Amino acid sequence: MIQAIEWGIITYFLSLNSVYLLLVISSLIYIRQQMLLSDVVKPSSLFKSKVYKTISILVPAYNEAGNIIESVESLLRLEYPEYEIIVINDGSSDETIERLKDHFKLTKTELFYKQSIDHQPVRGIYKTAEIPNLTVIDKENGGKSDALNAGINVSDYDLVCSIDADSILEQDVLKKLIQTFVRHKDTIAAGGIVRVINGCKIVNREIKEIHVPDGFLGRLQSVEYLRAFLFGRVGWDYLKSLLIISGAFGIFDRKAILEVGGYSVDSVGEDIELIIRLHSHFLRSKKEYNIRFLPEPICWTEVPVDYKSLKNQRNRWHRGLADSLWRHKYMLFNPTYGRIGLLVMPFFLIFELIGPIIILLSYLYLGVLFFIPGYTSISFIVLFFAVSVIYGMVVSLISVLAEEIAYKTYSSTKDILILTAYSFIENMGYRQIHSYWQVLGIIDFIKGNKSWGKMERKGFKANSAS
Amino acid sequence: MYLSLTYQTVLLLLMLLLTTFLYLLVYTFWTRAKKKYWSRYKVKFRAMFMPLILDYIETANRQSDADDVIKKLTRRNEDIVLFLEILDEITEILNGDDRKKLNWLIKHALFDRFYRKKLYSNSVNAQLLACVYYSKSGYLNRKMTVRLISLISSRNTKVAYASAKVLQNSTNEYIRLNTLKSFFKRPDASSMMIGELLHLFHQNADKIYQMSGILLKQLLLQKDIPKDRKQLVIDYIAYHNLYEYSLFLRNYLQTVLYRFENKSLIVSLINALGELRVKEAGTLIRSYSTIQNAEIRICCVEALNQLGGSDNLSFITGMLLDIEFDVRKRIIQTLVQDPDNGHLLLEKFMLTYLKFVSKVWTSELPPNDMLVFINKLRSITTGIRITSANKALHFNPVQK
Repeated sequence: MIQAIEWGIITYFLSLNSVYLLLVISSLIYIRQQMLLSDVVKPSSLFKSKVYKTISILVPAYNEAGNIIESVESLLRLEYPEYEIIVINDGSSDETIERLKDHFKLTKTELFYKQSIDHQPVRGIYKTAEIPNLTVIDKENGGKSDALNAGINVSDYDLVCSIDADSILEQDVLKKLIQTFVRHKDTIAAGGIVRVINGCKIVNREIKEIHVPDGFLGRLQSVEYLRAFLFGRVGWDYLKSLLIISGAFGIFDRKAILEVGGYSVDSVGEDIELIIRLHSHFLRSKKEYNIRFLPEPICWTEVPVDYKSLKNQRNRWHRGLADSLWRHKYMLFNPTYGRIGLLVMPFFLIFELIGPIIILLSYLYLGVLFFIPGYTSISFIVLFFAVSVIYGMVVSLISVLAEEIAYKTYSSTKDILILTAYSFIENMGYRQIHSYWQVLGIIDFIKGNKSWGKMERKGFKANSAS
Repeated sequence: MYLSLTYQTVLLLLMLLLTTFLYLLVYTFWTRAKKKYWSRYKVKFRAMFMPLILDYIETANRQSDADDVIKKLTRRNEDIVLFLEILDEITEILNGDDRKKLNWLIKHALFDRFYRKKLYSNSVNAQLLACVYYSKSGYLNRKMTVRLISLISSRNTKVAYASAKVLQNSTNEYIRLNTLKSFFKRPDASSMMIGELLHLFHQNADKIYQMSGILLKQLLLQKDIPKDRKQLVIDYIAYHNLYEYSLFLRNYLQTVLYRFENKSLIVSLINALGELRVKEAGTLIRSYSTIQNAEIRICCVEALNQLGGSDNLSFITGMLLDIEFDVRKRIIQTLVQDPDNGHLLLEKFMLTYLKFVSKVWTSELPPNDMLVFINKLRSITTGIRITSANKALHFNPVQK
């Protein structure tokens, strides 16, 4: 019996890390393929024709008075021939709407649009003749999904791009991402790599120097983001089985979102839930579709640097995953949903959702063995640490190095050495604590907790040079 | 149990992984060091050659003057690549005689020899580099053409595309057309690649203008070319205002039967007829405005508006009671923006139907289907009010 449990634990960790390793390697091959003389296919003709699509950028804002003006100003500088910005003030209790009205000299107006998706009542719509592509919606509080739904209703363009008000986009981000829609026929959604902005030098909301964060938690998250985006996005995209497009930055075909009824307002993982729903809808209706990922760093986001905010964020992410898998449980092991139902969702269920429980139980088992004389098996302990901790370290390290080989994002060698060191440290304590937060997330999901939790953010001004 | 073969295998695997990691670590820092070295070298190289090239452009009189600059190259592969990078940058800002002098440099025999070897090699990377060079230099001879034609059928999309781009430099229109035709048939070719090739195909139009006109028509009439590719050709014609295709496009639309799989092609054709202002296509476009697909009806509204004329505007006004909100919205936007009779037509519409509505309200409770109709009217009047107000305040965003 004991041997069976021990073999079960070893096999689980071995499989988990082997799948991660395979995904990292496949993503590295994919990135190399993509980058091999990418200038052969320059999009020079794209904007000399009508092949490109128009884009509405949706910016849900809740109590963003500190960042909102800079955020909108930076969005107005994006390089793209035809786009509009729709800021949705989601019933903020601070001065978000007043600042927007004052700074951009907005006037209250009405827009003629169809309320295709339900959302909380709109208090007013604001525009200015000076910036015709800027619209501000002031609505009752209803959460991020509700705000996005209001934006989708008002938007009039082919694609909608949802971004967090506290993220920074590369200036040519839309030009880069639109290529995904042009290259792959029937693309309905696309995402790109999100990187940690803490520690970077920012001038006028433009990143001038890329560095790793100063703090311990920030650095750990940098390694996490590198790994997660390599195998969690690029790797799955290589297998044409993408299940997550980050809520911080994603671009969608407006008609496709309307077809599935918009964002789900009672989900805390609105990003993953929407993607699963899109897969479900298009696979069921047997329509051709593509959900793709652009393997280039395009969006920079601030990560929480205090223990409590990080705990809340990870708890919410895991609740979101649990909620999305639960809502779409009919897809699991269902051949109607192809590789999404037979491979990707079971993987997310067994390794991503239940994984933390198994990890914690394994450590508990190890602890119990330690206190029972005669049962402690040194060989098992060695093997356990080999397949869980060391193998985990190897995967993290290869992710950091893969990022370095592919992108060379960080300009200084010191940064790479720090990240290399943190990919060791991450596996000794942080990942175990992270699993604990995720288990708490599952418990909260079972209890029906749908709150977002408090998040403390420093804002970009902390990193700004001017 | 743990000392079994499995245990040893797992340990061996871990050793292997650790070795891989160490290799990657060394490789990472090696590439970083190499990158740093080459960036420094590039700076020095530019500092030396940029003034030389600029001086050459000012003083050169004949093609052989290029040799003096080329002689200074150490002929290392990296030098050749860096030198061409500089030329590429300068090309963007030069024209006329200066550009001609720069072309003497770009087409120099040294580079030709260097890249010709790459073109005939089996390495995909080398083939791509050669194609990039030849599409910039514009140099193409018969032997190379044969090689490039063989590369169009390469399994690698980028190689096929890059060679198709080079072949668009050919002075032989049939080679250019056949290149396009074979590339259009590739299922892996993206719209972006096709758009670029069309652009290259049609450039220098004064030389092959007549011929390319016939060739684009051939592409549209060819049965084995996929519809989405034909759609791109039509979009290209419309975007570049190639008026000489007007009647051809009208006749072409007549031959396309309405089926769901033809929807995008029909939309492109109607849009093109509108953008090219083919007045003779008015009746044909109107006949499409009754088709059940809302996307087609919207593009009919836009095309009829572009054709202009009171008949077309009155026809659009008649479509205001369309079942689809998006169609109604587009009609209202079109009429409100119309500088001539749009507002009069809207006024007439409102007066006609509002009288009717007030009659219904005052007589008795309207039946359910009448309520649907009245709600639609209410939506239309709201739309007219809001869109007109926004026009007065200049709030209307630019439409695609």
